[in-house]
Amino acid sequence: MSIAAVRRRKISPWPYLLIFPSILALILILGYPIVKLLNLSFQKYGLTQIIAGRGVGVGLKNFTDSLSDSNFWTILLRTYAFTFCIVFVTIIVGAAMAHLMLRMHNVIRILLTAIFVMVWAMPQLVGISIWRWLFSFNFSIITSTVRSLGFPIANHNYFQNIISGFTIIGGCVAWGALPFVTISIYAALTQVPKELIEAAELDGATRFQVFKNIIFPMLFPIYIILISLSVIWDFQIFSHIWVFLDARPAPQYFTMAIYAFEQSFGQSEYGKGAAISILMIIALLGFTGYYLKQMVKIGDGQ
Amino acid sequence: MKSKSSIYSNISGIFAIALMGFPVYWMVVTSFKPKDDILSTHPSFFPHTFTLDNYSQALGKYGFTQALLNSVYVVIGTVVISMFIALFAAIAVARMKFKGKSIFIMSILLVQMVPLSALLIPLYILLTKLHLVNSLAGVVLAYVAFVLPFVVWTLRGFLVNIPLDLEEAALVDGCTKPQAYRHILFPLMAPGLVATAIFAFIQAWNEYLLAYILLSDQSKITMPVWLGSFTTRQGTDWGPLMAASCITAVPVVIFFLFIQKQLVQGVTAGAVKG
Amino acid sequence: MRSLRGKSVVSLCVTALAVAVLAAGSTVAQATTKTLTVWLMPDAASFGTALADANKAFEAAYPGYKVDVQTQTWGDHLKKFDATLVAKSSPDVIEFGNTEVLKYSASGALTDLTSQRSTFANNATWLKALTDAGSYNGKLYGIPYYAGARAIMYRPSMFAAVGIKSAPKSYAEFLADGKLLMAKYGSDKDFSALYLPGKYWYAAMSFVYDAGGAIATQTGGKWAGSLTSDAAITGLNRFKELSDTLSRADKAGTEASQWDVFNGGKVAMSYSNGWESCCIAKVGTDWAFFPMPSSTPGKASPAFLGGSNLAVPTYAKNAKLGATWIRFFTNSNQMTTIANSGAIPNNTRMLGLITGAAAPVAQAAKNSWFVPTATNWVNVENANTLQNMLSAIATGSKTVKQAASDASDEITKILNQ
Repeated sequence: MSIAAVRRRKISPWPYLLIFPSILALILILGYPIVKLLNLSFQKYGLTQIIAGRGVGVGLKNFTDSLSDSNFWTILLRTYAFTFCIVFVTIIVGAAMAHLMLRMHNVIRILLTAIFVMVWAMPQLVGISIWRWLFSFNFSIITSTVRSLGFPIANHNYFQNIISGFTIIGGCVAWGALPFVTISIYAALTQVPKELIEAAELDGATRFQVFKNIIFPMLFPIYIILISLSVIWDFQIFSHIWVFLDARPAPQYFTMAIYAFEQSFGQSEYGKGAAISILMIIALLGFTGYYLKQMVKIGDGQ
Repeated sequence: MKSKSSIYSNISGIFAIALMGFPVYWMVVTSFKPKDDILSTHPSFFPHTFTLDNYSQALGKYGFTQALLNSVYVVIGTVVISMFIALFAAIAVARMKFKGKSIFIMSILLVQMVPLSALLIPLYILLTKLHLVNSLAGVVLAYVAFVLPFVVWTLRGFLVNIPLDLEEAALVDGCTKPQAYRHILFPLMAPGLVATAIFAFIQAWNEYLLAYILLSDQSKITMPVWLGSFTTRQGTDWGPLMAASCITAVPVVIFFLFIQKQLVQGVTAGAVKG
Repeated sequence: MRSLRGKSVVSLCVTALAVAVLAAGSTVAQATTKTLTVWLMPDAASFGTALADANKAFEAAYPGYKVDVQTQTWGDHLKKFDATLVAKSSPDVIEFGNTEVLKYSASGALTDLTSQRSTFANNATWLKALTDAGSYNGKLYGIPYYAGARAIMYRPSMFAAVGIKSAPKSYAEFLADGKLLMAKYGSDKDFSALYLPGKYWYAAMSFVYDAGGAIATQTGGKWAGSLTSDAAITGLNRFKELSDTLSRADKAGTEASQWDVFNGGKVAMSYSNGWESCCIAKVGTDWAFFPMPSSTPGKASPAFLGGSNLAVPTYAKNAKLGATWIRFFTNSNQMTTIANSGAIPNNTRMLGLITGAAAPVAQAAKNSWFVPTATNWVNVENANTLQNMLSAIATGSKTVKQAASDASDEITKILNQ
C-alpha cells in the first residue's frame, strides 16, 4: 500500500492518456449537440426560423415563460413523485429478489435469469405494447380473466383515473428495470465472502444483524449507483407514457420529458423545448444531488 | 455468498418467473395466433389455432436479413469500441489518483442526464457535417457516446472490487505492469466485462429513435427501425411484428448463453477475494 | 511476449479505425450515382404495383437516375423531416398526412408548385379537401395523393333481426334504429349499437359540420375557435346523445383498432374507414356500408376526408425531378392501380372505380369536411385539444358548453401563436 501511495504522488501522464479516448468520444459526439442545446434555449427557433437558417435571440424568455407557467410546476412535481415511486419500488423489489435468488434452487434461479434476459431482449416498444394490451379497454386478458372467474364486470378504462394509470405505467417501467437491478445486486451479493457471514453467525448474530452490519455496508456503493442511475433513467421516462396513451397523452399525464418533447416536436418550438430540457436537467440535478455527491466520492476513491 | 435453497425462496422465485415472464410469454403466444385472434375481445391464454403465417410474413417482408445484419454490425461495433475505450478510462478512475478526476466523474454522470430527444436534431446536424448521416458508422459512434458513461462507471465498480494487494504482489514478483493487468486483473474482471457488455449490447440492439433519424436507405436500417414498418395508417400488424420480435430476441438469448459460462466462471473467480 | 501483446493492442486500434473509415468512405463513394430520394409512408406497399410501375417509368424516362424510396414511420417522420430541414438536406419528395402539410407550406419548407399545376394528371377533378390541404394562401404546395373517407359500417343481419328494412335516411332515423338495436341486443354489456369511442374526433366533428358549425373560423386574418356557436353545440349534443344511448365504447378512449372490436361481433355499427372491412374476417360477409345520414332528411352528413399529399421540400437536391416523379406516381395509370387496391384515388373522376360494398365510402369522399386551414392547425392536433374536449363531454366530467368553451379558447390561443 505504501509503495503504491508514494508512486501515486508523482504526476503521471498515464491517467490522462487513459481517459483521453473517452473524453474525445464524448466531446466529439455530445459536445456540439449540448452546446447547441444551450444556444437554442436562448432563441425563438420555430419552423420559420429553421427555414431562414437562424434563430431569433430572445434572452431568457424561454426560461421565464416556462417558470411562470403553473403547468410547469405541476408537471415537475408529478415527475418527481412518479420517479420517486418507481425507483423506490424497483430497488426494494430488486433487492428482495436478489436475496431470494441466493437461496433458490439452481434450476429456478437459472430460469429466472433466463426470463430476465428475455425481458431485456424484447424490443422496448413491443414490451410496452404488450403491457398496453393487458390493460386495454376492449382486449384486456385481465378483465376477461376476472369475468371468466364469474364476476360480470364491464370493460374498464384503466387510464381514466390517473393514479391507476400511473401505477400501471410505473409497473411496466419497473418490469423493464428489474432484470438489471436484480442481477446487479445479486452479482454483488455473491461477492460477499461466505466466511464472514458464517463467522458472524457463529458469534450469534441474527440474520438482520448480518444484513445490517455486513451485507449492507458492503453493498452500499452498489445501491448508491443503482439508485442514482434509476433516478436518472426514470426521470426521463418517455416511451412508456407515449405508447400507453396512444401517442396522445392527456395533460394530466404530462411528465417533464413529454412536456419538453411536445414543445419541441409537437409545437415546433425548439427553443422553448431546449429551455425545458435544460430546466429538466437542473431539476434532476437537484433531485439527485446527494447521490451524485456520494457517487463522485465513491469514484474518487475511499 | 450462496446458501442452500429454501422452499420459501423457491416459491417466490416461481412467482417472479410467472409475473416477469408473462409479457414474454404473451409475445411468443401472439406470434403463433392467426390475425383474427390477436386483438380479440375474448383473449385466451393459449392459441385456439396455431399458425406459422406470422413467421413466414415477417421473414418474407422486404429487408429482414439486411436489417438483422445491420443490427449485428452496429451492436458489435458499439460493444467492442465502447468496451475498449471505457476500459482505459475505468482503469484510470479505479486505480489511479489524478487531478480533475472528480470533474471527469461528474461530467460522465451529467452527460447521462441530458434527454436524448433534446439532442436529436443537433446530433443530426453534427453527423451531417461529419458525413456520417445514413451510415452505420455514424450510428455506432453515437451509440458509443451514449453508452460510454455507463460502461466506464460500471467497469470502474468491478475494478475497484479487485484487491490491490494481488496486483502489487504480481509487481513484486517481477511482472511488468501490463503483465500484471493481463494475468491478474483481466481474469478477475471477466464478470464485470461481461455484465457491461450485455448492457451495451442491449442498448445498441434495441435503440430505435436515433437509428430512425440517422439512417435513411432501406439497405441501412437496423432491426428496431425495420420493426416500425409494420405500422401503417391501418394500425399495426401485430402478428408478424411479434414473430419478428421473437426472432430478434434469439440472438440476444444466444449471446447470453454464450456468455453465461463466463459469468459463472467470473462469479467463482470473485470468491478469491474472501 | 510483451511486444506481441503491444502489437495486438495496436492492431485492434487500427482495425477499429479502419472499420470506421471504411464505413464513412463508402457513403462518400456512393454519392457519385444520381439518386432521387423519395420518402413514402409504409401504406404505399398496399397499393399494388403503383409504386414499382411509377419508378420503372421514371427511370426509363430519366436514365442514369435511380429512385431511392425510403419508407418512413407515421409516428416519427416529421421529427426526421425537421432534422433534415435544419441540416438543409431534405429528400426530393415527401409524403405528408393531409393535416400535416399546411404548417410546412406556410413556413416556406416546401416548393411552390402552383405554376405546374396543369401538368399533373386529373388536376381539374382533384378531391377538394386534398387540394385544400395542399394549398396555402392560394398557392399549391402538396399534390393530392390518395384519400380515406369514413361511412357507417354495419351488420345487415342485425338490422334485419330488428326489422330495419333500409339504411336510415336522417339523423332521427339513425338514432331510432340504434335504439331498436340496443333494445334487442343491449342486455349484453359489451354490445354497442354504434361503437363510438369518446375521443373519436373525426366522427364527432362531422356532427358539428353537419349542423352548420365549424371548429374555427377566420375573420380579418385572425383565427378563433368557434365550437361555442349554437350550431356547433347542437352537433356536440348529438355526439353526446349517440355516445350516451347507443355506445358502450370507451368514453375516454380513441378509435384505434375499432375494427378489431367490430370483428368481436358485439357491434352493430361503427363509423369506419373503407379499408376497415379488410380486417373483420370473423363477421364473414355480414357487413356493408351506408353514408352517415345528415340531420336534414335525405342528405348525407359530411365525412372527414383523411389522406396524403406529396410535396417537394425547398431544400430538395433535385426539386425539378422531384415534381416530375410525383407526376409519374399520380398519373392516371397509377391512380387506377391505387383505386383498384381499395384506396380512394385523388380525383372525383375515378371514384366510380371503387365498386361493391365499399362504394358508399367512395361516395362519402365527395361530401367532406376538412380541418381549419390555419398555419398552426397541426399544433392543435398535437395538443389533443379536441380529443380532450370530447372525452370530457362523453364521460360527463364537463358539460357540453363548458368543454366546448374551454377547447375553443385553447384553439384560439394556439392558432394565433
